[in-house]
Amino acid sequence: MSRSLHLRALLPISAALALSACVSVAPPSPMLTQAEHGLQALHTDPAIARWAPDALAQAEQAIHTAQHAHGDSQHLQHLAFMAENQVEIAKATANANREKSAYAALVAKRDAMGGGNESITTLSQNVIGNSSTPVTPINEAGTEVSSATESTSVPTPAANSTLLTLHAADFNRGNRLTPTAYNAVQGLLARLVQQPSLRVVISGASRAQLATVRQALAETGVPSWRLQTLQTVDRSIDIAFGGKVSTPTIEPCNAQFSAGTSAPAMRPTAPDSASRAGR
Amino acid sequence: MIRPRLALILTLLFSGILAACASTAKMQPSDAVQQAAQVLQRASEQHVDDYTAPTLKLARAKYAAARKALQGTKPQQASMLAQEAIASTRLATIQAVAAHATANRLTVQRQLDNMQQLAHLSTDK
Repeated sequence: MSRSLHLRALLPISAALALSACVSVAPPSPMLTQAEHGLQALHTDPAIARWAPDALAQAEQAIHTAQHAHGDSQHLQHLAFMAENQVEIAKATANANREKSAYAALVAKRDAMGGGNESITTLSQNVIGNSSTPVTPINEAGTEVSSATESTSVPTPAANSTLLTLHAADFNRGNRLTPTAYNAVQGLLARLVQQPSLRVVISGASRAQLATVRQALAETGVPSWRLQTLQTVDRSIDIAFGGKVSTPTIEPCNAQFSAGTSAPAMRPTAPDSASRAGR
Repeated sequence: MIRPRLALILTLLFSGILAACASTAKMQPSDAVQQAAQVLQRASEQHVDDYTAPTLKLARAKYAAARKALQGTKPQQASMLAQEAIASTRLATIQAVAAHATANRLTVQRQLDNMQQLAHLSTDK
């Protein structure tokens, strides 16, 4: 009897407590819920823990803070936003680190295959040129790899013989090559690989256009040490064979400009536009 | 093409934003708004929005709202919005770094593909 009385007394108290709990705990905002789901997704992806452990910990901390915060709705909303943002940062950080690692691995693989663009040129020479022609590959140091003397069946063109002339109409706004001009520049590869010992001189007035053409040639596979930019007063851009590369200068890795020219304002190329740039 | 300088600049920018995030919590609202402006300015100068325009657009919207709140009588709200602008810029910058790394990887991948294709053709001959 006395026990049931106790229970009866406890019921309203527990009901009141439950009610007060319902009143004081606001439902989580949709943004916080989204952040929580995002965090769960991060936990299920092992790549996140591998590539962005710190960012993941910060995301966990931000969500914990948002979940246990008190204050007005504006403040709670702010914390939810910051938590959600931190989850996205963890994702992006993992992605960035993974891509960087993949890039490094590919570079190592490319180098193991004999180097980057230099190897492309040498191989192109084998394919495009006469297969019976002795080939004198040149390594990254610019020295001949084999002891074979250079004697190709392709006649050596005179220095300064122009391969291609580009005019103002061949450049878009921002001094990018038009698709037609880009293809024309890339089409020079077959002729360039037949004369691997000659410099390729890009001359003209516009530094930006010189840089654009140089980059297009480098993308095609012409070794950077063969490329030389020369600023002149001519409005057109000429691509011509230069002198023989007897003692090639080793340019620093990724150097884009020769002495005397300066780099234009740096502007990254978006991944999608990297493939369509100038094409 | 591969631009290590860009990577360096983005990294420095990212470090700057990290420092900004760490210091905005105890800042005066006007200082927080000013810092958001600086962070956004740097991101614009480095063309972060070439890669992540929507994220940076959100950051700019937050910054504009922060300025408006500061001009009114809502300093606390201005401070929170400035922090959100900085955080969004930080996200945009990391996304730009990731996109840039992807572009680099694809460039080298293309080179490798070319080499393998040419080597194959050379062998056939």
